Amino acid sequence: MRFASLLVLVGRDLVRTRGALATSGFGIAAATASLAFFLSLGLGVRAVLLGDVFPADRVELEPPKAADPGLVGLLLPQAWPGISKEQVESLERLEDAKHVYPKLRFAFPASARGGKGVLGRDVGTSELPGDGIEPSLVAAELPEGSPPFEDPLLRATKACSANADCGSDQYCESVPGKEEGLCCDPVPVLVSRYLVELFDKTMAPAHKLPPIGETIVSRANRVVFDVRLGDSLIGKAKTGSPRVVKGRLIGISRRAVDLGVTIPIDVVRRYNREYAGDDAAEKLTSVVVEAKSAAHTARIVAHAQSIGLEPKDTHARDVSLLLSGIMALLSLVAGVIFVVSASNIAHTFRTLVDERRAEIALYRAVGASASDVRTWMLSLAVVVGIGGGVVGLVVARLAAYGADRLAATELPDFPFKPETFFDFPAWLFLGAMGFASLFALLGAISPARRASSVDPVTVLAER
Amino acid sequence: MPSQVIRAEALAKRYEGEQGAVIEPLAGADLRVDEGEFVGIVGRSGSGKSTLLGILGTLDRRFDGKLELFGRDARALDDGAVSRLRGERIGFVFQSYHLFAHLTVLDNVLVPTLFRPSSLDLSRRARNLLEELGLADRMQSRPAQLSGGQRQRVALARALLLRPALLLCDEPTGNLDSETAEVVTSLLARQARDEGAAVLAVTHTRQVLRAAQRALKLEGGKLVAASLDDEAAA
Ligand SMILES: Nc1ncnc2c1ncn2[C@@H]1O[C@H](COP(=O)(O)OP(=O)(O)O)[C@@H](O)[C@H]1O
Ligand SMILES: [Mg+2]
Repeated sequence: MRFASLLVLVGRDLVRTRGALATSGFGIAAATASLAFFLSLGLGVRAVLLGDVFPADRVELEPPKAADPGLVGLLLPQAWPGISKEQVESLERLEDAKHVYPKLRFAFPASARGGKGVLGRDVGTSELPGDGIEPSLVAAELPEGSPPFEDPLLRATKACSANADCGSDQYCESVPGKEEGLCCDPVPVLVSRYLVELFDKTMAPAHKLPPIGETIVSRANRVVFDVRLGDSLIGKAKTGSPRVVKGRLIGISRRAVDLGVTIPIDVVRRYNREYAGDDAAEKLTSVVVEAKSAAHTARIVAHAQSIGLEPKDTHARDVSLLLSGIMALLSLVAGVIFVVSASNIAHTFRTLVDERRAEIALYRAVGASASDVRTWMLSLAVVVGIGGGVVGLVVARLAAYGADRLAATELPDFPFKPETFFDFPAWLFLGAMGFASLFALLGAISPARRASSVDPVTVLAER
Repeated sequence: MPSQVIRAEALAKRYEGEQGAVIEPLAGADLRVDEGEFVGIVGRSGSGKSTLLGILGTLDRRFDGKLELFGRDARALDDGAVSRLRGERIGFVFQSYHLFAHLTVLDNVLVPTLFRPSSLDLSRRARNLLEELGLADRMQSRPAQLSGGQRQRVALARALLLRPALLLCDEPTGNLDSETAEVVTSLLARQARDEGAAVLAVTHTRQVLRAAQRALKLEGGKLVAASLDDEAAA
């Protein structure tokens, strides 16, 4: 049948049977609205969670867990396989990777003591694990005015041979390959929010210390503490002689290791070389790969596994799995509405066809073929589906807008509170429209067959 | 030599009635109609005239016997081909009009154009036909607003729109006053004479028979020659 004729016939039906068709399209609209609303909510929340809270466009890679030497590694640093330069370069060459940030763990025992400025008295830890990271990894995160997160040796000028030679805020850092050291600012230290919470909720009350969560950002600069390198409760480093350096807490970072301190990687490299040898200075503990977008992460992980590395953090994967599960569940609800609305369409169309048997026979008598009649009915259903789909999408969009407005005014501020909880990518619109017309079509298949099987001879029997 | 439009041999049709009763309105009917011929068909009520027209017009495809339309075996055509044949070359005028209640008179007449494979603007022709049939001022009316005679003329205009080569009419003047019946009858006759259509009209009225070139009577399931002066009503 010609398209123009189809338009004429379907158009006449829409005018003539608008009530019944609108009713049957209502179900499709409801289904489309809930599908689009739930999916866009899921996508929006996922974008916030994976983009800001647990960024999924970054993945941390490390050697397989079985090779992790754990605490023993501190004493037997050579057993640590680490990540070689070649592996890092291979990752850097990946199309999908935007940046590769190395991470290097302390390969030597260390302990710390300090905190009088904030806590009122010094506290200590007999064991201080730590990570070194590339300063550029956290550059965007640090609040303005905070001390730079970089190797303090870069700015040191004044020569020294012992800590006593430097000001009270500084310490004497040994310079590789030189007799004399240089007076250095304390090493900038970042900690995780997890560590701060742990301290405030369990350690502080137990030891009658004030919580530091509130003040850590504003008063962090005061928290200067001593770090003893090469010596802790577990034991002494194999090489180098223990000495005391200074650290300064400059903030909280999501890139900081959960338990321990996080400092510029060049400092760790220097210390590792001093206390654990060259290999410990060169071979990385892990690398953080920033993907061009979350969509590239999977290929990066696949490549990493092919060169013997494993993704470390499963937070992002867990969250994304959980969200996918919830979205699947809600989509299932929408799917049920779709099925119900398809059967609704089937019912409406069946009634329509039965009422029009005489008319259909007459159309057949003046030249409509069975397939013309079927095409006509199916097209009518698709138009109803598209109409319902458009209405549903508009409703979903308005509901999303309303929900965002409500969230903006009614919900208290919370970390990572987004401006919108919804994401409406183009494929969601197209997909929702596809589902709307598909289910309308499915509902109409049996009535359309019924219509096309009306025998033209019926026209003789009428009246 | 005029070409043959209908060639039917030994047409038979049986209906299974209730409790095994069998009705056989057609039992070995033979018929040949050439182009340009106007044939009247008479017969008692219930003798099978409508059944015959349904078979000849390919509306009814379940029958026994042989049917050639325009030289092609009608039984061998698939639904698509037979529908096209019906739409383009066969016109029907039913006893009870069969108009679409939701369409205007003009749209009713134009319905057959919807199922043509190529588009063709026939609204001029539709208007001309309606004018000729005295319906110039009723083109935008709905069928329900028309009298029986007016409706039958609309149905006739629809049947004639695509200049069918075969026109099948089931008591086309049955519900008309004699004046309107005359208009319809002469239009049918002209269709055969000027357009070369084969026209088959089932009728009870002498008026129509007089316009026809020959008459056939359906009797005992067979078609037999009848006199044109037969007062057809049995
Ligand atoms: N669909 C049908 N089922 C059963 N019997 C039918 C059917 N259509 C017609 N008949 C019967 O076939 C016979 C011929 O009917 P019909 O062709 O309408 O006669 P006519 O048009 O000459 O009055 C009648 O006895 C009628 O009752
Ligand atoms: Mg009859």
